[in-house]
Amino acid sequence: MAHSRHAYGAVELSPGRWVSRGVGHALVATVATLLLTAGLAFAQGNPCGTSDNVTLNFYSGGDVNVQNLWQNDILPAYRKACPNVTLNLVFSEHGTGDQLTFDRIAAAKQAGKSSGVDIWETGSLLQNGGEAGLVDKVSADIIPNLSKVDPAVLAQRGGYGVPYRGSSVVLAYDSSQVSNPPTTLQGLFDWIRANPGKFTYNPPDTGGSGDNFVQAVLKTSVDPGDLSTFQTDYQPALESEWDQGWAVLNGLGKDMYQGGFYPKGNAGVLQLLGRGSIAIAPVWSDMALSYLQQGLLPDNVKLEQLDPPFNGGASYVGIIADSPHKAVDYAFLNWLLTPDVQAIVIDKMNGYPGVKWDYVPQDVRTKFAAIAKSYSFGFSSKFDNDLHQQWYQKVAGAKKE
Amino acid sequence: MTSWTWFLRQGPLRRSMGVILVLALGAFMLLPIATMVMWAFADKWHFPGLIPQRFSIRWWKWVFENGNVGRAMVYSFTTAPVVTLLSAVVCVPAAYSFSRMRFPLKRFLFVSLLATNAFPKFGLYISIATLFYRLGLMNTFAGVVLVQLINTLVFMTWIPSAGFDSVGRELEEAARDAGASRWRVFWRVTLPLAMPSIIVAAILAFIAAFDEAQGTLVVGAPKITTMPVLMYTLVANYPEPVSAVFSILLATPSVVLLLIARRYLLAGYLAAGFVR
Amino acid sequence: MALPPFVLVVLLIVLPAVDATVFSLGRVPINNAAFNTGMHLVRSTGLTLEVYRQLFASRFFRQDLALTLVVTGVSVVLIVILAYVLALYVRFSEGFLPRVLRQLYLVPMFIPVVIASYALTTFYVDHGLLHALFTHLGLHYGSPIYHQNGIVLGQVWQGIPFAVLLLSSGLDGLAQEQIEAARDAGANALTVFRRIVLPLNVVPLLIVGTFTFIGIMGSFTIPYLIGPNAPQMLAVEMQAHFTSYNQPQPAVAMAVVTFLIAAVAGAFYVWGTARSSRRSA
Repeated sequence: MAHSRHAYGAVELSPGRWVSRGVGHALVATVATLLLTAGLAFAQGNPCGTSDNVTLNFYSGGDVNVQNLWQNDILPAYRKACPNVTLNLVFSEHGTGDQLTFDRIAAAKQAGKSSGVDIWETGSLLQNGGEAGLVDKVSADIIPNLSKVDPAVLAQRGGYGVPYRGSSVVLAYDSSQVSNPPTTLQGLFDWIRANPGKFTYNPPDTGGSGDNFVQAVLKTSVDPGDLSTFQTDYQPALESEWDQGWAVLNGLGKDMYQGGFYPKGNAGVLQLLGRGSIAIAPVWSDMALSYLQQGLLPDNVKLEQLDPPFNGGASYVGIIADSPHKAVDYAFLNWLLTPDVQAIVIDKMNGYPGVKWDYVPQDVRTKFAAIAKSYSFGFSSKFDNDLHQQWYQKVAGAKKE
Repeated sequence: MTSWTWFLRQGPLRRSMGVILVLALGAFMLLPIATMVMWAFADKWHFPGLIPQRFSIRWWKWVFENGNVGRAMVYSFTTAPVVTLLSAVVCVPAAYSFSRMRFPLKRFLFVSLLATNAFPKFGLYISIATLFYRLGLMNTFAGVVLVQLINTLVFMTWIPSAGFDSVGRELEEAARDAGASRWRVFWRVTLPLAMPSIIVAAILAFIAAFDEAQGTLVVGAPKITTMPVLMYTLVANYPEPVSAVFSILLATPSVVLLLIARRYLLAGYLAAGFVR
Repeated sequence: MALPPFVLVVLLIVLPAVDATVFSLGRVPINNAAFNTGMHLVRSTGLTLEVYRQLFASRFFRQDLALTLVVTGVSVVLIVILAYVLALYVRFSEGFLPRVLRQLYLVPMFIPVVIASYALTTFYVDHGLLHALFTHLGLHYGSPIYHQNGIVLGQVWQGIPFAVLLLSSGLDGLAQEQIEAARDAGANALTVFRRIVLPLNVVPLLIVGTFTFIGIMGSFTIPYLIGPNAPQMLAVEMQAHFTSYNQPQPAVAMAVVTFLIAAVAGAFYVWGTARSSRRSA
């Protein structure tokens, strides 16, 4: 499940996945050729990619429920489907290993050694890795089920990862303190000013819920024509369009919890909500649902989505460029997008599917009807990096107006 | 007019000042820890309760089922002792030469050991990773040991060096005159007398290795995790009771060490190492 | 025989540190993906101080630097005062109480920093135990947690054991009779402290001062977990630049600045101990 940045990790853009660095160079031509060859091997023959006994090293990270999802649900199912393939799950708690896995794969490439990683579940580092030639691009040519995925979701990671699950930021409110929760962003601002000290969010670099809240505010003053640039590209000059949004957030500062305190991490905000210190907060849907299930949030906490909705994001799995088992990798990722597996993901993670909702079994779709809409998309990682810094400068560190 | 030192000389007043000091210090040091211990057994604790409204051990069960604590503990307790031993082997001879021999730049080299630890290590890690990759040390036990070793070098050189300083040369010379070889003199005379310093150094080195998190993360994760790595990720990212349980589990080894090491620390060997 | 530790240090710290410093001076290495994929890079063929110029021109960095120096300074002063009080009391008293004290002040030494920060936070935080206590006593409570003072609190808690141990060692050279004699001769407590206690304790004081200063200035965990959102201590800011903002160059520049300040403190220590050992020689 999604959580905060860690001292060693990086920031997440979507539940549990980590943002870190910038762009390197793409070695598209060579990579594409290799991809196509291996992809054909998979597409033509074996649904498991091979009939030999193969072990794949699968690096992932995040919270305990992500680990449980893999270890208890998905991997056993895959072992039944393809008994000759063993997936060795290497899991780092809270994504602390993500930045370092990147560093390691990069260092391995530098030293001319094999990194030992085949498949990697992580955040925007996947795109950074792709542009540095460490991660392969994926497409429906080599992974047929990708045709069921919303192309925009694929583009969010530059085409370097397969989105197998998702989540969205929603608004959580304490129904015993808030009888009439706001339904729009402007309504939320009015509520905050009328009820000072009862709302807060986490600094954008420490958790996706705060990050997406800030993005929602900034988007209100962005030129709609530039929106897609913000989501997929990077042009620093456009950041002047954020000024109005920053002014709003700065102005709201004094009406925040404790006159301007922003707890680090998604969990920090949920704890304040649980203690009753605040009454409304932006939270990840899957985190909040899990907390409610475990009794860590009192039953009077409810969830709702604003109009227009907050951002969400997917969790992506990518293929490392030097993996010696490409055909098997493609087979596994393809299998992740089949309807039955997607149903498991939704059920166990209280999350969204990686494929479009149309490709999910009907009964599951009905069950999640309330939130089964698509979500909007966040800024590309470089814009997000600058956003992190500017938040500290213009909201937390700025003189209060 | 009585000077105010008169107060300090009065027995009962001095005693009550003592009591106040002990109570104040005790509260300052121990209450935060007590809070954490209570959270570990709390099922429901709402403000303004002074103790949890309801106790339970369900979070301990949760931690043991979900926590991955076992593996981290095993690695912590195997890497730290190895590091300490290796550090002693590498540094104690160096400490002896600092104490006994003269060579150019001695003082500079001595202090530079300290200085290099003052450079924040963030950007260094990828260089270390590249080097370790070339040497085949990434993700290996040996690699993690090397990385943890760095933090122990200052303790293992400075403090035993002071210990050796305190062994009078006359003793050594007397033993030599009596016919003992250099090695025997070192082993039978110098080392035992300097042993308390070496023990203090070893304890501090152990703690430094045990607490090392960043380097271990780069080189070892995710295959080799130690307790501090686990600590950093879990504390403050989980609900209070879970973080509290983890904190207790992961602090216990250090506390046990405290109980064993108290005697040596209080005897002044630490100070001797730094005050030269 | 003295070489092995240095070989390790050179390989694992000095060389990478030099690499990093060169990077901060504008030379972007081709083979280092962590550095060359950073954003807003300053590139130059020669060495340039542009990165440092931009850093010091930034109001936010200056605020962080000021916060770091103030917090460090205040913490060091508080630690020294508290440690002295404890060391003096324990030295000149006998009995059960001083013995208890001697065990108590060691406690923080063996609690890992992360856990200490967490424990301090749960105790002092708003709606935490201390707040509950104050409420029961009818007093108003303002939590230091997530403020500058919280960092000082955490650092003092952590720093007392080392300071007390070292200052105590200096006091060991003092005899009760010396003090009594001085007092009988008419000196008041302050004079006794200034003329007798302090001079005998210069070296331990210097060590405590410099080591504590260097340690607190570069500390990460306590400021990260207990400090305010902004401004932040330098180590936290460094980490943010490196991981959250994807700007490794300013991060390394900050590391160099921190190191230089620490080096000044270290030089002070070397000068002080050399001077005092010359005096006593």
